[in-house]
Amino acid sequence: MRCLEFDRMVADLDRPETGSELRDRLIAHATGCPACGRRLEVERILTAALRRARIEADPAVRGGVEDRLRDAMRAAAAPPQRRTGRRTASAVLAATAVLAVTAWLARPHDPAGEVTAIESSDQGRDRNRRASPAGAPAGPRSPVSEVRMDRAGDAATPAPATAEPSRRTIEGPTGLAIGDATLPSEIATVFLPLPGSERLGLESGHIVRVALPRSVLPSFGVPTREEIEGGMVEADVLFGEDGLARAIRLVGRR
Amino acid sequence: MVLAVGMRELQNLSDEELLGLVRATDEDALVALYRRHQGALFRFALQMSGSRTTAEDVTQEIFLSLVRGPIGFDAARGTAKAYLFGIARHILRRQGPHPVGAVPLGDASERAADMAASAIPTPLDELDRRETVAAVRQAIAALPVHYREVVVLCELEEMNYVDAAALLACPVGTVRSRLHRARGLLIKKLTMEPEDQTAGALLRAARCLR
Repeated sequence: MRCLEFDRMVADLDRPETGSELRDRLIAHATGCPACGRRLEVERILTAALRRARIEADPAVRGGVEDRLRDAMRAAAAPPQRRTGRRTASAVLAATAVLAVTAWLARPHDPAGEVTAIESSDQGRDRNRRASPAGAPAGPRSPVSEVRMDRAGDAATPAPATAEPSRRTIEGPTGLAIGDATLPSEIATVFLPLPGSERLGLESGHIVRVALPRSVLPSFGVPTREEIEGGMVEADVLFGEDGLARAIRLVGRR
Repeated sequence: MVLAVGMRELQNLSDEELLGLVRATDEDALVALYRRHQGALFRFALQMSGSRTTAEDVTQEIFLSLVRGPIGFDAARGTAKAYLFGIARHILRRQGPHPVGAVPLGDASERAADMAASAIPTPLDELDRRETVAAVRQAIAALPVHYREVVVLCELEEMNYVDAAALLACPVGTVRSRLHRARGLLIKKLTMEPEDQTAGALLRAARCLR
């Protein structure tokens, strides 16, 4: 063995991959060559120092990791069911809304029917008051109402409250105040924003009365009690001019 | 198929078998794999990053990645251990370069166990040893990344050349040459470092024999 070869191989001397034959040759060369003998000693000192560094390495990892791993594994198995449920609920809502809109469009036109026009500005309020004389008895109204706002996201002024005492102002999904369009015998929740509706904004739109399976309500963040989970509930869906639903509220009888 | 295997039985399974169970969302298999390799992976991340916090995050992230994404382990390309180290390396690289700093010493219990294993060390011996370890770790931390990787894998974690080559995606000859070069740099650094009093002094003493 030559010194150049020794120099190339000496780092492998104490490695498990190194065969006994090569090891013997390296040691034999180092024994006969003083320079390579010193080199071998240096390499062995370094190997010993590295072993010390290995032994004293700290393997302690913070606690709770095993629990987090278990939680992550359980969560990884669970989400597909939830996503499917939400998709189903959205599909049911969309289908119901389409049916409701179609039915409303197909109904005989009644020019005398009341369509509540609600505007957010004072001017709009005044105009609305003129359209609906104060003190007039509140007759049955169409379940479809029109909502107009100056700018998307602006807090609109409460709807005219003079027509009848039962009319209430309802806080909309993004701080919007939307005039109540419920009948006097009805009560309603606030409008709950639908997922993704914040991005769409809302200049004006329509409220459409729909009937929904109670089972889809949790998808909109509406808690329901298990014992009354079945059946249908009435709701108002707020649609923008683009035809996309923005928010939903539940309607009940007094 | 998810096998109902207790933790005791899982300990007898190979890494490859455990990975197969993890694929089938067996959380016990995931924990068994974690317990088996977390120490080595933590040390690797610690040596490569120089940060205990980073090392802890990386160690956890390795196993969370097995839960989140598809497990791309292929037994034909290397061992499961090398696969886990490969994930660690990928995460560390994704975080960008880490500042070179001193790697913290091991905890007191480990040192105590090590002292008990050795032949009745004096306090001076213990001081010397700690200084040696600190000097070696600082020298390793100062190496360029591709040299540091082979030193940590092949020297500190005793990984063989074939596994290291599979992990680093390079030929075995490249691993050998990098390790050779890295050891040369370590010797040079430990010999020239003025403040080291143990490893460097020992190496200097060896050279003085010329």
